[in-house]
Amino acid sequence: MHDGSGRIIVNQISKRFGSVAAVNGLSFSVEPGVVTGFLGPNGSGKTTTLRMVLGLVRPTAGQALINGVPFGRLGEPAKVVGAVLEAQGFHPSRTARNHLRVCAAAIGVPDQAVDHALGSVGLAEAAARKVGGFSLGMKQRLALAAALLGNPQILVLDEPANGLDPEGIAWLRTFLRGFAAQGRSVLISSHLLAEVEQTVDHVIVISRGYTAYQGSLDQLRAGQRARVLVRCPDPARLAEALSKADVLEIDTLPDGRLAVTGAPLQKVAETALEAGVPIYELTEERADLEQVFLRLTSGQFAGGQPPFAQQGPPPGYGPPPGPGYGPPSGYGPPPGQYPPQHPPQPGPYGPPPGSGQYPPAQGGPPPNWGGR
Amino acid sequence: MNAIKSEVRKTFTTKMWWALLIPITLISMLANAFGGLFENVVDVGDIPVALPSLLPISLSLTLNQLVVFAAVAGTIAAAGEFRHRTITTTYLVNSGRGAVLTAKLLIAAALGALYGLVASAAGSMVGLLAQEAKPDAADLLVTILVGVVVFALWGVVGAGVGLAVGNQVGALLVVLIYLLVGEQIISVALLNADSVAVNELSGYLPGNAGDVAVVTEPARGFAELIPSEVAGENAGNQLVEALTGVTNPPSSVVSLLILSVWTAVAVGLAAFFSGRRDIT
Repeated sequence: MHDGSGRIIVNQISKRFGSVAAVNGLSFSVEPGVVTGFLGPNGSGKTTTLRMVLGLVRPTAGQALINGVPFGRLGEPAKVVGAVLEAQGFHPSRTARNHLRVCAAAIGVPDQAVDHALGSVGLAEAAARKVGGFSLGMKQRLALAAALLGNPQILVLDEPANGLDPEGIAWLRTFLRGFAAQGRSVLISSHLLAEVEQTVDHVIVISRGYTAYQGSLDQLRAGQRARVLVRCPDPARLAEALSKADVLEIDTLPDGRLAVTGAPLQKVAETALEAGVPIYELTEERADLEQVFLRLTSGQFAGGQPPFAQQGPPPGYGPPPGPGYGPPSGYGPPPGQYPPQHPPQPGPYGPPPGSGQYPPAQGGPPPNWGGR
Repeated sequence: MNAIKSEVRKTFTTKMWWALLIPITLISMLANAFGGLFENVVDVGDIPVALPSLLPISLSLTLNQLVVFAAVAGTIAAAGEFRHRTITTTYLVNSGRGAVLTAKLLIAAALGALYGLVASAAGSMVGLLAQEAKPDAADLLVTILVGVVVFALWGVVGAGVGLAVGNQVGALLVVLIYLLVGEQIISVALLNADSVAVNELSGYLPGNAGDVAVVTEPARGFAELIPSEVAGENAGNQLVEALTGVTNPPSSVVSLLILSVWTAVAVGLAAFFSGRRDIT
């Protein structure tokens, strides 16, 4: 039988559907007492992985263990792990209470547990209604009620926020945190980091079937570089002063602010003072976790914010020609051109093209420009 | 046990089980009024013997027509879980796929037996009221008993196909096309062969085996009531052949065994495929 640890261990698990490799040698573990987020873009293999953990899909290679044994050998699985999965169905003409009574009989819990579970997800008044008339959010709650019937040690939820209203999401967050605080385990998947950022302690990020990151959310945050945003009347002069002070990663935002990466706030302020450039606004900006997530999952920047890095002085540097300049559809500075706020000015304004950390280099949008 | 209790609740919390009982009851009532109609239309004085009760024969033929409902009920009960995607939850809450399979097959058998009983009860009631000549009680009870067993077996076959195919529409097509069309085509092909041995194979098809099992006893009982100088030798077997289209039909018991073997095949396929299927 199982060891009762409340731990999920996934070891080198892979799944192929025909010629499609859905999951490729994924390994991670889920510990009791914390909420673990399982993140990746749509189609990255999250659902397949969760279904392998739950014994619904057979791995091509590797194994997934719950409490030290595969799901199929848990004996009474619903008393160990409860799951809310995407595309988990209901018979439309069965009532909510009857759906749970069917589950309760299979799990082997008394019928009183049904009304308790209905109450705990806020569906007591809809108990006698047919599930066919339920909203997506109500179905999610009903699925959660079914998952809780066996009073499990582990909860697995696949994209639970789908269909929940903001109030429902807040409720779910509180619920899951409380569940984990009792020393139980929660594994929750999402394609949006922001959606679960306030809920999870640990994250597992997967991309194209591989593990891209595993660890605590705080570590992920701490590993990110900050940039300093400066608003001043003469950004060109400040940029020149900064580059003389060996601060080379400077970027201009569409609104005319400078974005300085790789230097602390103090150094930027001191350099400006020495150069005699007044500062109207100086803020430090940490990278948005969502961007971190995007970079982890796509391997490169995928739009949404201007790149941190530079553009080299492009050949066509100067007052931009009329048509076609300005940030197209809100995605960062147009490549190869300066925003019109700046007077033409010769001189190095950043590192040479191609030396930066991130694409794009000059010449055009990155391959995934504007898309995710 | 938990799985069986769960399946019972699952079956009786939707409309399917009683919705299918409506046509079963109506058809059985209409079909078994035949003996009474026959008695009223035919001038009994023209026949040298009293017209025996037609109820066992008409009931057996009715059951053979209605057995498809048992198969359909079994198929829907099992494969409906794939259609509504409830199979995910079913596998998450039960103690294993084997338990789910066993419970589903047992429920399908019970549902089939229930349908057989209701069809027999409705048909017998009308038949007894409609015709003055009353059947031999033993004949009628044997017909009902064998009919209920055949219904139960077909319920299991339906559930087995449903679990093996894993798709409600696909499984229903398999069951309905085979029972309503496929087996007739195969039978005709077998009966047109020159060899008697090949002709006799028609009795080994599942649909025919069930039909023969149900019809044999009432047909023999009916033939016994007719004087042998009128009916001729071996009239019972000839009547079974005429009613089922099977050459040299095996006995009732052997036919039940043949259908049981087919049922076991369906169960084996269901166990094989449902144990390995990825639920995505």
